Amino acid sequence: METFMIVIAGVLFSISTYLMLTRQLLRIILGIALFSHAAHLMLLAVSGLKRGAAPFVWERSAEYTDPLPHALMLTSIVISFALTAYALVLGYRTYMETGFEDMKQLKGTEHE
Amino acid sequence: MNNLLVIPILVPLLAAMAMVFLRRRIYAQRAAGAAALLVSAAAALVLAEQAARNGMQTLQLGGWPAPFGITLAGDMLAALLVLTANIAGLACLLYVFGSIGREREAHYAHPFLMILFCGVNGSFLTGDIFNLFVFFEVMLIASYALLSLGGRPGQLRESLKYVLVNMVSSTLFVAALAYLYASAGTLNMAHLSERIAAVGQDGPLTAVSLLFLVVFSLKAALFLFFWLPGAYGAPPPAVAAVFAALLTKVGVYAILRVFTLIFYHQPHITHTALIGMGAATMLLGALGAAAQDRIRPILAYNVVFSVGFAVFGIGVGG
Repeated sequence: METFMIVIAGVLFSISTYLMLTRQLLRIILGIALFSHAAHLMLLAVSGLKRGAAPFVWERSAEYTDPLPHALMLTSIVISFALTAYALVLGYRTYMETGFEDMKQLKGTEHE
Repeated sequence: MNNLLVIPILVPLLAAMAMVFLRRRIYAQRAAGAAALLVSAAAALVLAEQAARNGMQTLQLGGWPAPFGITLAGDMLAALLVLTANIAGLACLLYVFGSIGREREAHYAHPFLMILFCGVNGSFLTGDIFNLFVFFEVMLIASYALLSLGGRPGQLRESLKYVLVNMVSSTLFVAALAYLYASAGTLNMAHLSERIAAVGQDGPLTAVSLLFLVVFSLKAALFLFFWLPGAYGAPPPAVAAVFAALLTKVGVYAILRVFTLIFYHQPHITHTALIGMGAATMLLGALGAAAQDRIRPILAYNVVFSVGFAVFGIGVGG
């Protein structure tokens, strides 16, 4: 199962890299959102999936699942969700103000 | 256990929360901001004195013992950096009062500045590498808001690029943390240092350390500084001064911590990379400054090559 998830994370990383290298703003933002999903999936997979009981005191078991990666992932998901929303709004405002959504046109001029 | 460690993080955060409710009272906001920075600077001064006398001060948040909970650690370096950051911040803040304009001050510029200081102080004082990521994000999110506040087309365009570059580097930070946790099984910096010293820093761990180097170079504008001149030219000069004084330096501090505390066993790879990138940054920054004919880009390139000097020192000395 870990191997499968690592492969999925790799596929997501490559798709998101492709999207980030395109020129349209919306595709770049979507690429970054996918990039963070890939990183979260990898964080979950590399530290091992279900290895034992849930880490509660009343679960009498010889082995427990490590809860730390889940906590890290949750923190990171919240941050990347908020930032994706912010980037979408910022991209929309930039499009409304400048009229461009192509990164080539958003390069800026020498003297303004 | 020393509760003083949490003061430079908590006081700016509480000040920011209070300021949101005092939106129309700009003078109250200004007073609260200056007071919060003075209090954190005073706390850092006392902390530096205690660190000089008794060695490193630590605080286990929530009372969880060291490798399991989040640790705040203040040694002499961290305490002095917090002190310097808050004094520099106070100087910039006095200039912010007169120069950024009523409109920005009424639209939460002061709370965002306080959140920025909370993130900076937290990054200096944390002893847990994931917590470093969280404080980096706190600082960066405040800087995104400060950059785009005002909404002129040029400003929006530059802050969009800054946000996108930093989102990519933050995601790489998460990926590097995943590799590190999978191979070392801990995220507490002191514990990481012990474990990596025990098992040895082999090839994969060195590769992870280089991934950390890429992440911190993007944040510190070390060699990968292509985003900096545009982004630091967009906000009002006083805000750009805060950014120049604090944001890239937190990245340099992270490089210093990671490569002197955790990954110091393969200096012929990691420290050679630091020296090379530092030297390239110095040269390219100086050439970039020489090629400009306006004062703001020249100052922005000055930030770039000062980062080069700092990291070159870390590479040679570490």
